[in-house]
Parts: sequence; structure tokens; C-alpha cells
Amino acid sequence: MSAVTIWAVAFLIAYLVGMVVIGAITSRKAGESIEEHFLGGRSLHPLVLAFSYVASSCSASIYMGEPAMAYHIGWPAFWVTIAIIPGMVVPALLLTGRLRRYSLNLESVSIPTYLGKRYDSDALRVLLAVLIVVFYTFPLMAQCKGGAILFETFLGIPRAVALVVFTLITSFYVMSGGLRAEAISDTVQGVPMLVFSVTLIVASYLWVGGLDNLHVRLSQVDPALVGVFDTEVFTPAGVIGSYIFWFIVFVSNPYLTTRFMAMRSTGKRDMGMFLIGTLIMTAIINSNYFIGLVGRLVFPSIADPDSATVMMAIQFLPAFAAAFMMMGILSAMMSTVDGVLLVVGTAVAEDIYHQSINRQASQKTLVLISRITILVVTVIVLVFSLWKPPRFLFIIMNIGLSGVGIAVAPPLLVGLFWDRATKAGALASVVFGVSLYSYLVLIAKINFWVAVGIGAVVGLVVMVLVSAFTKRPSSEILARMRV
Amino acid sequence: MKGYQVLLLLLAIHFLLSVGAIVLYLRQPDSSQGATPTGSPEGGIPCPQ
Repeated sequence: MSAVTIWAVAFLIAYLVGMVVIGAITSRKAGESIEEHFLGGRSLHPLVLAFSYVASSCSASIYMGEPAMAYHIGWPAFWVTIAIIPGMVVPALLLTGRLRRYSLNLESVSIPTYLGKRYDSDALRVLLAVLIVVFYTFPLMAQCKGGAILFETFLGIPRAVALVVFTLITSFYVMSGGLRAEAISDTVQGVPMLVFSVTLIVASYLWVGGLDNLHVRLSQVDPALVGVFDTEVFTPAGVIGSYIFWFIVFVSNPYLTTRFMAMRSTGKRDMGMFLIGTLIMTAIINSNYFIGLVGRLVFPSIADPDSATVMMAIQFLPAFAAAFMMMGILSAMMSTVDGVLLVVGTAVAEDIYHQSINRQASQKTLVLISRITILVVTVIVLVFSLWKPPRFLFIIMNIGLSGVGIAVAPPLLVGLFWDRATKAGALASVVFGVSLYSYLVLIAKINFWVAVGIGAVVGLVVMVLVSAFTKRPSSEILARMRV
Repeated sequence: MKGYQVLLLLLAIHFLLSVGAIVLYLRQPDSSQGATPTGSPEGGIPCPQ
């Protein structure tokens, strides 16, 4: 057994024990009420939420999938790092205050329930809940693949076994503790994530001897690696699409926007801590592309570029540090998986069962249904991942996130800022936007970023146009929302 | 300018603009975005009841 493996096993055991302990400690409180379970009782510290917001958005995709893209296409991949900064901050600025207040006034603990009440539409709520469950299967599978690669590389255990261990432990602690467990563990995980990013980027920088050296050496491999745009992914149209993509993802994906609803207050001090914490974490963690760029020089022909970051860590760092970095990657994946699982549990328990089937259901029953849902979805994802593992982590992840984004963003955003937004407009935008996006990505197979841009813009236009020509929403609901 | 210099410059501009947007947001005298129904010990401005 190598030194890296020994350290990795030690860190892994400590990490997993820590997560289970957090889940166990918070489980009692989480079982008390659905608001506590789904939103941490709306009492979480803003820095805890900022860590949770960024950590949940940083997944296997950021540590493995995106450096792999940089490995392939070079500097043009850096557009993601550029576009993600406003993509994360602007939604927080736009949404936090209004969404928290309106959702509180309409007694909603989830995005579909809030939108169902805002537009007075059960159909919209159920449609969104179903789309969330379906589309979130994709990012869950992506994270499971990433987790399995990690365990296989560091621990030398078969990928199938690694997959089972990774998935079951994550689902256990989400079932136990809800958002409070998730947010606290995200913060604990945020520290190794930061250390991970900075250490490996610095080590890569020192190895290559500066940016000019990197430029020269990459251009010797392939001049296209040092351009501003490339010809396939980050064409000028693709860049515009990527801005829209990140905005859509962060403005509308419930596994992220629940953080806005869970703020303990939207006072200036809390908001300041949340926003600045979010910005700094985002800037640091999204510099991981650099590892992929240097990786292209260190390992010119990797069979599976998703492994580049892990190989770089083992190559450049002492066994202790490399194993510690494994925890950074692992924590990123787990924070995404738990965030997504929690939203899926909420969609079934609250948005479908509570709101449509049994209005009298007790709080404990709803939490129980959420936990059972998480377990069932975990098993389904596990079976799919073992049966037909996704080929490209980055793509499978973002197809799912965009699908939810295009469904939720137009009704959420327009409904927050325009009283005239109607139920018919919201339903039409979801149906048209998601159908068009699914067609472009899955059947026409056009550039992914462009497909996202078209789907989002069409959804938004349909939302506005249909709203303008249909019956005004009830003024009673709008008044209650703004109490 | 080399390609990476252009991209890093754009990154810096985005970062600074985001900082500026946050500062402007926090300096807003208007309480409409920061109001909470119950008031806040953290400086939030209570909503009219």
C-alpha cells in the first residue's frame, strides 16, 4: 500500500465519521419541522450559507470536469471562470431579499411551492417538481462517476464498490440532517476545498515557471491552446451562451437558491458577509482550470482527462498533501450530491405529496417521505451509474442543471419583479423553454452553451408575451406576498 | 496582448465590477430588498406590519 493510499484512507475515515456525526447531531432538530429540515429553520449564519452556496455549486465538475476541458481546449476554457463570477453574484443580489421575504409570506419552503402559490397554479408546482426530480438525476450521476474515479485512483478499490460507498454515505447524512447538516458540513468542507485549490495551483505555477512559459510551451503543443476563443466550445456565440448558462444555473437551481430562502435575515451585515464570502470563494475555487492547463504539459496523453487533477495532485505534492486534496475533491462532490438530493426529497414530499395529496400531513410525515425519497433516488442513480456510467462528467452534469434552470428561471425571475406575470405565461414558458432546450441538446445536438442560451431566451420571451395577453394575476396573492 | 493576458484582464474586470455591485447594493438606503417581516438584529429594516 502506497503512502498516498494510507493517508487517503486515514483522511477518508476521519472525514466520513465527521459527516456522519454532523448528520446525527442535526437529525433530531431536522425531524422537528419541515422548515427546519429544508431551510435550516431560516436561522443559519450568512458565512455558513455562503460556504454552502459556493461549495454546492463546486462539484466534481469544477475539480475534475472543467480542468479536463482546459486540458483539451487550453486557455479558452478560462471563459467559464470569467463568466461564473457575475453568474454567482448577480443572482444573489437580485434574489436574496425578495425571494426570502416573498417565500416567507407565502409560507413556502421550496421553489416549486413558492411558484405554485405565486401563480396560484397546482399544475405549475407539480410540473416543476417532476422536472426537478428527472433533470437532477443527471448531476447526481455525474458526481457519482467523479466519486468513483477518486476512490479508484487514491484507494485502489474497484470503481463499483467505490460508487456504492460514496453514494450511500452521502444519502445517509442528507436524510438525517437536512439543510442544517448540509450547510454545516459544506462549511467544514469549504476549508479543505480552499486549501486544495491554492496549493495545487501554486505547485503547478512553480512547475511551469510562470504564465509566459506556460504560453510558450502550450503554443508549441498546439497554437489553438493559447487563443482567446476556440472553434468548438467557446466560440463567440458559445461565450455568450456560457454567461447565460451560469446566470440561469445560479438564478434558478433550487439546490442553490434555497440558500437565499434560508438566510436568517437580509440585513446589511448578513448580506455583506454572504455576498463577499460568495465572491471570494468563487474566484479562488474557479481557478482550477490552471491545473488542467499545466496538466496538458505534464501528462500529454491521458486516456481519461477527468483524472488529470488527481494525477497532478499525486505527481506534485507529498503523499500527505495529495491525500488531503482528495478530501477537497470529495467534499466538493458530496456537497453537490447532498444539495441536489435534498431538493429532490423536498420536491416529492412538499411540492407533490403535501401540496397535492395530503394537506393535513404532519411535519414528521413529510420529513419521513423526504428521507424515503432520497433513499429511493439514491438507489436509482446507483443502479444507472453501475449499469451505464456517463461518458463525460462535465456534460452530463450541466445538461441536468440547465434543464432545471430553463424551467424555473423565467417564472421565478419575472414573477419577482413584474406583477403582470401570469400563470399561463409561467406554464407556457416552462413547456416551450424545456421542450426546445431538450430538442436542441438531445436531438439536434448543437453547441451546448448555445442551446442553453436559446432555450432560456425563448422561455423568457414566451413568459413575457403570454403574460401580457392573459388575465392579470390575483391582486390578493400579490398583496399577501408583499405584506 | 497574448490570449491569456486578455482573459486574465477580463477576469479582473469582472471581479472588480462584482465587488462594486455588492458595495452599491449594500449602500442602498432603500429597504425594499433588505426588509424582513420581523425585523433583524443584524441591521435589517423591519417591514411595515
